[in-house]
Amino acid sequence: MYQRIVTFSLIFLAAVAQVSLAPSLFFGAVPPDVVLLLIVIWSSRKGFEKFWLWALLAGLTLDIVALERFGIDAISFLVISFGVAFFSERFFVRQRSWTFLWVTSLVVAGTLINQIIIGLLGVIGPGSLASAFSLRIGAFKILNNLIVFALIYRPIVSLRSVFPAEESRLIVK
Amino acid sequence: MANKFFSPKFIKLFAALAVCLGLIFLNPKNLLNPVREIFLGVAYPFQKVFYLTSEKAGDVLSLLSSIGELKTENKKLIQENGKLASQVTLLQGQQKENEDLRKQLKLIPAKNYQLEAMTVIAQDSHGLGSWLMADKGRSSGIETGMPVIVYDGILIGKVGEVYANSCKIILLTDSSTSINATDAATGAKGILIGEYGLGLTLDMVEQTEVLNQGDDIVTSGLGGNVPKGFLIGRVAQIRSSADKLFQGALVIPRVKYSDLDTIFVVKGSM
Repeated sequence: MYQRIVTFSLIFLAAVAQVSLAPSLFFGAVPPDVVLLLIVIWSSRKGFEKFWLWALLAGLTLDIVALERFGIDAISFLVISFGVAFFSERFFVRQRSWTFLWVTSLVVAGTLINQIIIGLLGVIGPGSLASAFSLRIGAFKILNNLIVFALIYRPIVSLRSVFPAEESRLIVK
Repeated sequence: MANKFFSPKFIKLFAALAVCLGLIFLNPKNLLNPVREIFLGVAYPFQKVFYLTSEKAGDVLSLLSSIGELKTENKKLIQENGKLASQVTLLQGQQKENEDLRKQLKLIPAKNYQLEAMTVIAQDSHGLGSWLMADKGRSSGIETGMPVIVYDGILIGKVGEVYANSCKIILLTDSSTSINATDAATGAKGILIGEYGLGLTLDMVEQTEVLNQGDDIVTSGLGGNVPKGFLIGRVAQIRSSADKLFQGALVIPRVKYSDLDTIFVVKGSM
């Protein structure tokens, strides 16, 4: 129960932070996708089957807080969580340093997929596809997401309440 | 291969995606708005604290990054101060002229409206500048469709959704925005539309009308509930439609929407 409360609190605070952090803090006035970063980190370590309900809940929480249509971020997070877990199960290696680089590349891929899915589902309105593929926004999203990812990766991974010891082990196939 | 798609993992994924699509389908009927209201009520204090704190942090960061430039800037400012002193005299004369022009154009200054001050607590997290969220809602008499301005009567958008203690403001740069506007200098009329969060376009201006680069664009007051005379932006570039029937212009907003903290809702005229 405690683990669930901590996980939900983190998701909730990340969603609030994502919409309420002043854009002036970030390059290009493009805020980072804090919730997406949590999804990528957790899915890469816990796997889709253990995390899919949290991905769904995180998406719905962000949809509510970010005043978007219900279900749009949820769809994006489910797809990203599935993809991240799928590739993590196959390519994760034991070395911690490589793990960080591997998850970093998943963050870049996740950011692009998130932009495309949200654009396709029309959260930004008609013509959103053009915006989804805006080079400027895409580049700043990736840059800002990587900066925030570098800052939160260690603290999030070291949270024992979310990652019990047995779940922290890496899978090699 | 077919069996792979019937694995528990895929079934869970497709079931969850189906639920989400169902939610998207239910959305236009606003069936889930009560859930959003409750959630936003809980999130409200956090949003306010996060926004104000990050704004202050942003100020500190910009101050730190500008320390090196302060010395040279100070020299420049001393020189500019001399120039500005002479311009003040000139502007005092122009103020009178400006008031006369406002009367001629029937523009009403912002002080003639009943305004409700609000603080921005959240912004579009996709970086498109489509909307803002402010800290006042139904309990303060805010209603959907009310125009939103900043100091000096510069229009930034309209109230799109209203909640108990907060509201969503759809900015002029959002692709759903469409407002009747006019060139303040020449009187050319057109429709101002948002360019997917990336800028503004004044469209449907007849070829017989005159548009000049640098002209101010103001609301025309035709249709809708946006009063006449609110400043929107300045013409940056003029272009013709493909069929040459109309002309249009790229309009640069007068304020940077992502830097706003205090805004005003126009509740009515005094």
